[in-house]
Amino acid sequence: MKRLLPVLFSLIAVAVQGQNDTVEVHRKPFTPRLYWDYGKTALSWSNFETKTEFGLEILLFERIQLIGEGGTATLKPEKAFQNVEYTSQGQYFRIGAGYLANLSAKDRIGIGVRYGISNFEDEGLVSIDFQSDLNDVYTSQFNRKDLNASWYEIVLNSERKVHLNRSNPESILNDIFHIGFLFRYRVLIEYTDQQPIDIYTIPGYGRTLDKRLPAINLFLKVNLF
Amino acid sequence: MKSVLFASLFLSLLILSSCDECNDCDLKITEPRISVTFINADSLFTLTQLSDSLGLMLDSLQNESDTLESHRDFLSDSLINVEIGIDSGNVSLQPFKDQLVLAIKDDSVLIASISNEITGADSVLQMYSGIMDLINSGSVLVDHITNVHNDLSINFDDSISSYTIPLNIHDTLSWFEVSIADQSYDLQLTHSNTEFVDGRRNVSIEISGIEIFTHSFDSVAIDCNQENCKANETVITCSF
Repeated sequence: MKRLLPVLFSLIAVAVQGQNDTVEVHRKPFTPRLYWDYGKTALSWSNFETKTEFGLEILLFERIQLIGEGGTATLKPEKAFQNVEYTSQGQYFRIGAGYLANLSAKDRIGIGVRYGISNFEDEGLVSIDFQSDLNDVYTSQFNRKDLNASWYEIVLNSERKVHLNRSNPESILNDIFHIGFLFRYRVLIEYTDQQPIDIYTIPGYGRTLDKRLPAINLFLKVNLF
Repeated sequence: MKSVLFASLFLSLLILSSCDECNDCDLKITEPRISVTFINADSLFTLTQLSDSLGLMLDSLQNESDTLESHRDFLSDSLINVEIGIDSGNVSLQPFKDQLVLAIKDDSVLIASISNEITGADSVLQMYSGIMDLINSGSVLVDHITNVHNDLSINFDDSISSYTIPLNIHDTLSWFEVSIADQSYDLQLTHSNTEFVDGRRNVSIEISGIEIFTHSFDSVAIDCNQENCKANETVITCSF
């Protein structure tokens, strides 16, 4: 927790700094927004993972975020084990809230929290070659279903408006699309650990070896109305 | 100013990240094994008994040979006296002379035969002595050890005092056929096999609870450093 303090202080400083520089505008009381994690989709070409993630955000008075996120992932990490073909797949959901502050007319930064749950299954094909003169290659399989995990996240959110109509700064088109990133700091609460071969990775969270885990998401966000 | 704050925030978060990459990931997996020593105690005992018996037999043959030589010497002396009598004109001694010649000849044949037996027994005794010296050195040549489950074998060319044998990772019964001097012996061990993940993220097999199930040796003794006999820490001594 001591290591978190400088992070929290920095976040507060950024938010306050953003508030001071904010240009006063009319605040919409209710703005539904949908966002797509295009970074995960872009990485789906690899053989190691297939991920899809979307989020729905209710922005109150252009400050308070109420957020729900969901996604699916099929993970095949090469380095999970030296001699196991490992796959973990499932769905995950996050709910949370956040606070957005304007850095400028186009840029916003925010801080928030999430609570995430994942329901998934994993499977593996173990192959042990002892290079022995007396033993054949050893193989075994495992397939574990209905696994669960939960975690919470501290999230830093940065986004920028995409101006589609540069000739008319007041155009409504300039308020529809946003791009940005989420920096998440995840803290694992619990998961259904397995023995002797434990779960290696949890869809939506990441490696179980790390009980605290940073992650970055790239998103395209759309104001629905 | 904002960018500086932003950068400091980013760096702070990065400090929180950690890695747990394994070290020396390319090292091979250690296989669970046991050390086995083969003692030819039975042969040593048998050879000792045979050597003792052969020694007694040699003594007996030597005594018999000595008796026959004394008898032949007596007959030779008698023959000389008989020939003196015949030369003096007592021709009636001629039949005695013929009998004495035949008796001396029979003794000589018997003495030669016993001498051959003594020579043969002595060479056997020397061979026994050589084998006993080899056994007493503690080194036994195992021809091969076979995993009966899959018929895979390890062949050996040199005598060694302790053989390291991989246990059966596929089953809780390790069944070995040990061939020593064209003689086959069975050794069956039961144990617990458990998968585990080692520090290099390799899934491997740990074997413990090793016990002697059955065997065809004269005797087998197991020696564990710990209560729960684990592979790589267990020594088995087989006497045959």
